[in-house]
Amino acid sequence: MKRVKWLRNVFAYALLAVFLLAALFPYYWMITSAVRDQADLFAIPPKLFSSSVSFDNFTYVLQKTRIPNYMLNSIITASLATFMCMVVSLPAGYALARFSFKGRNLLSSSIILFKLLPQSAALIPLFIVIGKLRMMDTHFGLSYVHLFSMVPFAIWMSRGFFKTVPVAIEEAALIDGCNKPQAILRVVLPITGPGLFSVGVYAFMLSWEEFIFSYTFTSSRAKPVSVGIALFLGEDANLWGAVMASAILMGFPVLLVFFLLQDHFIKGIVGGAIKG
Amino acid sequence: MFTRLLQALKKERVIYYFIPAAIVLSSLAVYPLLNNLWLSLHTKTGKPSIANYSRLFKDKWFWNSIAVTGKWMLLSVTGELLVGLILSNLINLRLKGTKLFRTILMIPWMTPMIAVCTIWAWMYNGDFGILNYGINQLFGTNILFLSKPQTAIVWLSVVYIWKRSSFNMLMYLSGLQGISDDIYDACKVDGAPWYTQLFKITLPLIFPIIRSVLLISIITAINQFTIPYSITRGGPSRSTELIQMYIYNTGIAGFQYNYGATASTVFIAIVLCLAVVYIFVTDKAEEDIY
Repeated sequence: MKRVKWLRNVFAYALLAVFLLAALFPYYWMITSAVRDQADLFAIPPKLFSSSVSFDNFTYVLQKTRIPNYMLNSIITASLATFMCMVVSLPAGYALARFSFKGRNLLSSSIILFKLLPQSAALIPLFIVIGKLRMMDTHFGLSYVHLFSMVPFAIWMSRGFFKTVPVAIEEAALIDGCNKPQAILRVVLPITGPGLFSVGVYAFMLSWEEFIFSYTFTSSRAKPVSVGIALFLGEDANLWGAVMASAILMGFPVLLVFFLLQDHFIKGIVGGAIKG
Repeated sequence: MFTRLLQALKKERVIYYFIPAAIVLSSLAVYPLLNNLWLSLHTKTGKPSIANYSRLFKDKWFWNSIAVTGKWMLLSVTGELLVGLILSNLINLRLKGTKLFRTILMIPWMTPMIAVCTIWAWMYNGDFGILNYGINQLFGTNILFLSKPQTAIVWLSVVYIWKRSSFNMLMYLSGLQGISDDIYDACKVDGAPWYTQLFKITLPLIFPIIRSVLLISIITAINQFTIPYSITRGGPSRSTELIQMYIYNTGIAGFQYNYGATASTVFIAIVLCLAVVYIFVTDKAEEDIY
């Protein structure tokens, strides 16, 4: 029996090692490609380990390309979108979690429907409307259309966090003389704070990495970094080192935040997706 | 009816909580849905007609995009299901270092899609890509990852599976952890072999979760756009043109609003059907598991 368990563990570790390698190797390759010089980058055969370390690609991306502009655009758009998203979604998430009323199930279901709707479902009509309103290529226009996927998600995720607050606590606050807004502000929000913070961060990231809408509704002034990198990738200039460097600049802040908040993300997203 | 609604408005303060979200979602989702339908039933000049539909159903490239999306869905969903199940079972063994492994496995899921695409485009690169070199060294042949129409979609789905599997893992893990150890202990006492445990206990108990996750995976997979658009631009010879790319290319890039809206309406109908099944199934599952 012991022997079987030992064997099983060895097998499991071996399998895990394969998966971990598969998960991590692309990052290794991205990072080393970004910090090697041109000769090493295009060496044939490719060098798994490179002796050269240079940050030329990063200085090139930051000084010679418009990637920094695009990053700034993304920060502006995503901040604006996150702010609007939270203002709009939190009351709805709270009400879905707290009140029982006729049609609540129907409402919950329609939020899920919105969450699963493809972006192309809105693409052409919004393209026409945004064009008519002269909001093409503006930060506000883009951040508003980003709400398409952010709001259903934020409603759903915040609903899960609001559900963790016992009604009794809120009632106690009401009995102690708080009115409803005070009870929410002083009691519910502090308890759900970390969870709601992660909802906001997640919403920010949805906007940060969004592609179809960003690609359709911007051309230069408001172009975000996701589109910038995609177009950079499409150029035939063989600037692979620089492309990798810009992907690192875009992706690593997100990963850093993820490491700090991972428990909240997992709770919010897993809970939201399975528990109906 | 109207007075009753007004009364309800006065009494039910609940509705106020939903007004902002309702405004945003109706402008961004409900209006476009209806507008799509309207556009699809009119010609460019605004005359009512079903010509768009008859043209769409005869359009070879529309059917091509449907076939490509079907292939893409089968490959991606099977892949992420299998890898997700294997990973969740591995993590659920509770070996030493499990938390760290789980975190590492989730890195691809948290990386922005476009960054993922750049990494893989570079690794798949025909001239300087590391994957081609590695396969050449091991097996002595070259794989034309992205330039063969028959197989390009397979290699793109690998990118998708690589990114999405850990999401599946998390879902299944939450299901597996909901199964009480007592059941397995009882199994051991009765001397049931591992395959009986797997097929008679584990799989049936997490089946409701598998069902829900499968439906979500299907919908998410057919909604994909970024991977084929940024890595292959739909090529070679339109063999990776997913339905959303077809809609983008005809409706936005080709400025055929009405025609693009027609394709979009058909696609929405498909997604809505799947979504309704998902909601129905998951509502039931909620009562079952938790």
